Amino acid sequence: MSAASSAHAHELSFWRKYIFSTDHKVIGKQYLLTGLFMALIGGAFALIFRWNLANPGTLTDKQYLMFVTYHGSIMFFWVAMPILLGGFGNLLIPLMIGARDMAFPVLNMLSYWTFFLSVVLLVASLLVPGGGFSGGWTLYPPLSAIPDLYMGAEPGTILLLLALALEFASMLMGGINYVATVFTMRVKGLTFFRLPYFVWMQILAAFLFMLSVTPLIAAVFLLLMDILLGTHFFRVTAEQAGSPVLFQHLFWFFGHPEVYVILFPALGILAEIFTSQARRPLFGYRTLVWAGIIAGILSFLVWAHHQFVAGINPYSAIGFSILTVIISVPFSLMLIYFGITLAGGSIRFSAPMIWALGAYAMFIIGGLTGLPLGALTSDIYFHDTYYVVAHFHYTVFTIVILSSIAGIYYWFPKFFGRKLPERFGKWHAILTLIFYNGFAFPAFFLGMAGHPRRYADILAYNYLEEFQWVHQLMTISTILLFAVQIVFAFVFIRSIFAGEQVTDPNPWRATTLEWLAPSPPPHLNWGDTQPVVEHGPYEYAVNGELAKQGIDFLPQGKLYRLQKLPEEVAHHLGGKGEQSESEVEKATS
Amino acid sequence: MRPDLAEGSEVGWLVDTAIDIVTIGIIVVGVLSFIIFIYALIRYRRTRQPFALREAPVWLRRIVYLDIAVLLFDLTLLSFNLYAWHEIMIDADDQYLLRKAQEEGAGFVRVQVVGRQFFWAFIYPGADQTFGTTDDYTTGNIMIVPENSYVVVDLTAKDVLHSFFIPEFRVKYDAIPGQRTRVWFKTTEPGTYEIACAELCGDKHYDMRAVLRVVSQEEWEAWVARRSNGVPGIVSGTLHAFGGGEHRQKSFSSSLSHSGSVSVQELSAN
Repeated sequence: MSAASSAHAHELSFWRKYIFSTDHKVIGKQYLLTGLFMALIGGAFALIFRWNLANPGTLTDKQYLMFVTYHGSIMFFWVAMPILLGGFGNLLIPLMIGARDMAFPVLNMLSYWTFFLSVVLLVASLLVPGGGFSGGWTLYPPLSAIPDLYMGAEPGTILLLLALALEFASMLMGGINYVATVFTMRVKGLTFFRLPYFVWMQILAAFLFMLSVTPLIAAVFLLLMDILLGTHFFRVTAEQAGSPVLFQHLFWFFGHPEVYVILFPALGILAEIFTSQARRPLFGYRTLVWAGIIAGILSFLVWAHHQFVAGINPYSAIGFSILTVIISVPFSLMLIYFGITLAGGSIRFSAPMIWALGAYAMFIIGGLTGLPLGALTSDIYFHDTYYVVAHFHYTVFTIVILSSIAGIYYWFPKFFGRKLPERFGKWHAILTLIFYNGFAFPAFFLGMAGHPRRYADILAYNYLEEFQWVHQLMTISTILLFAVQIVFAFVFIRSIFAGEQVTDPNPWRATTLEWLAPSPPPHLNWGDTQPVVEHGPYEYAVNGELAKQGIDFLPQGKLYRLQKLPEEVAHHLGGKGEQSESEVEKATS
Repeated sequence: MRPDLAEGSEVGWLVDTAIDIVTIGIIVVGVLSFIIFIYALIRYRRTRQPFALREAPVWLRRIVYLDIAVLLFDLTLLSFNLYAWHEIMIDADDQYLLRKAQEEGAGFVRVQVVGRQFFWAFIYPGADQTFGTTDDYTTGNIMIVPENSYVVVDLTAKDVLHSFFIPEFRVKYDAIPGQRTRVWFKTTEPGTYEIACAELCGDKHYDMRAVLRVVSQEEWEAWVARRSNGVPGIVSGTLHAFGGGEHRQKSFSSSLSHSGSVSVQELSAN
């Protein structure tokens, strides 16, 4: 945490510096570390219920469902969103656009602490009498609306719903901040079509989240009213009939864009890593941006493909199915363009690159296996079977774990000033990919066999009995997968404090602005300099004079020394407002 | 890996064909993608290609047209799905199925299914062929239908969402409280199949198992006659007396054939 200008820096107290900090980098690290910690908890939960699947009867039925429910909720809302949006978004957006902090630093702090409160409520919901909610992360009523009758976990359910509402509120604050920051605080020369792809993906994700989350917050509060006040929005009794299907519409109207809210930043991470590790400009940058926008718009029109056999009009199912299949066009375009970025490059198989390539390969499987679910007739058979489980693990695990860890290996030197061990990173990637496929791929076969999801025990069924060994295989893979991540957790923590120090601020020889800043960047990022953007974001494989010197890239901008420091910077650096000559400092390369 | 398709199931054939077309399509495209991907990684590794190309080669830029191929591929895969969906979900209303049954000389049976926590109730209309009359009769966790018949199932649920799933007939639809939904299938030969719940409905979700028995025409008629002659119908309100899901009954041995018919007690034992 040593700021480069610490010699005469204005010292903040410990609390203001590390706990209630308004610095986007500290908040980003808080989000990242909280998210990684929750990932271990979510993973441990998976391990517990997978153990039960291999050895039926270890858990009670309710415990099994509770762990399944919390695994899903935690991984989506308390791991994916904090790491990809809160973590990488906060760490990278201001640096990539040359800003000194977010547009609303205090709101940013509030966002994290609201998130932290939601974590507290989440943990509390597990510990209250009756245990946690066990009706699935999709919260479908009436099961969730009448918890005392059906699952015996009323306090847990209420706390989980409140935790979700707070989590959405915190991510909304983040989203507003990202959009405001990118729209107002780009440095000179940084036009919208010079933004790194990652920043584009972050603001698209923020927009998708802001536009889609409102119905879900409404649904959560209606559900709370059903539980607490006895209303009948989703409950059905002999006297009054609510509509359980209405909840599904509200949930999936949010749920589908939500997948892209976490997918987009992951694709952004891949774009940054692919270009710098293949030394290649991002192929079709503008088209990729438009593909993201179109996919984002389409994501609002496909929600009912989760409900083909859930009581919707069969005619509307046809429309939703066609739209769902059309949405594969922008995404396959993204994957094809990323592939062309790789082909023709000069690929370095560094640790982050192996992670990113693994993620790319898994996205191919995840995307293709979505087709039998989006196609409405084959979905009759696959709906709510393990096929769905396999498909969304190939997409969401890829997003949440593979892409995030790729990003962690890539940007770790920038934000912690130390390196993660490279060789370990490669083995980590390869072992993770093997064990991940070891648990996720067999699930396709279970789905083909018609194995419904969320069964604590399959021995009740003759047609499923023979697949018990598949569950055992999947459980072994999960245990090994988790063990590898535990090792990574230790290596990660060790590297923060005792990793090899980096001297070069730009170890990957990458172009985007964050690599101009010192590692780690000081408070307010740029000290007494200011970046000015002169190129697009991916000027790799350049020809001419520089290439003869062995430099194959142009940094996106240059650092200029400021004649007059902005007030807050001057204050932070110790009141030396009127300093230095108008010397132009060459960008470090 | 799929359980064997029930003999002659029309819905099953449509669903299976849809699955096969899409699955073969994605396997072909997936394998091709992986071959190209791995080739590109090997061909453009740093040791072989020390300097990246600034512009994509012309032949690579043409690959963009692949995306149009993707769309065509998707829609081709979807087209059979749309046809099958139309056949299963839109065309096949009761009138259509009844007409078809008459043309083929097949039977036509209607059953109401009520899902409630960890228990399926099957309601038959009785001799007057009308639901909601006093001669209706109800079975618990066992569904009996005649061979060579079109079976129309009206679904609903008493408490929470359930999903009526007969894997071997490829039939699945949610049972929703306060709403009626519908599935249908065609039987040919006598046989015994399993019915599962596919929508999370509570802690015994995995144990909400029922049995579908397709019986011969004679057995069916004998059973209907016996049920119509004085064995009182069970109103659905007392269904909990069956205590569904308490005990695992995996045996199909309590066959209908040894007595030619079954009593309510025998049914409830299943």
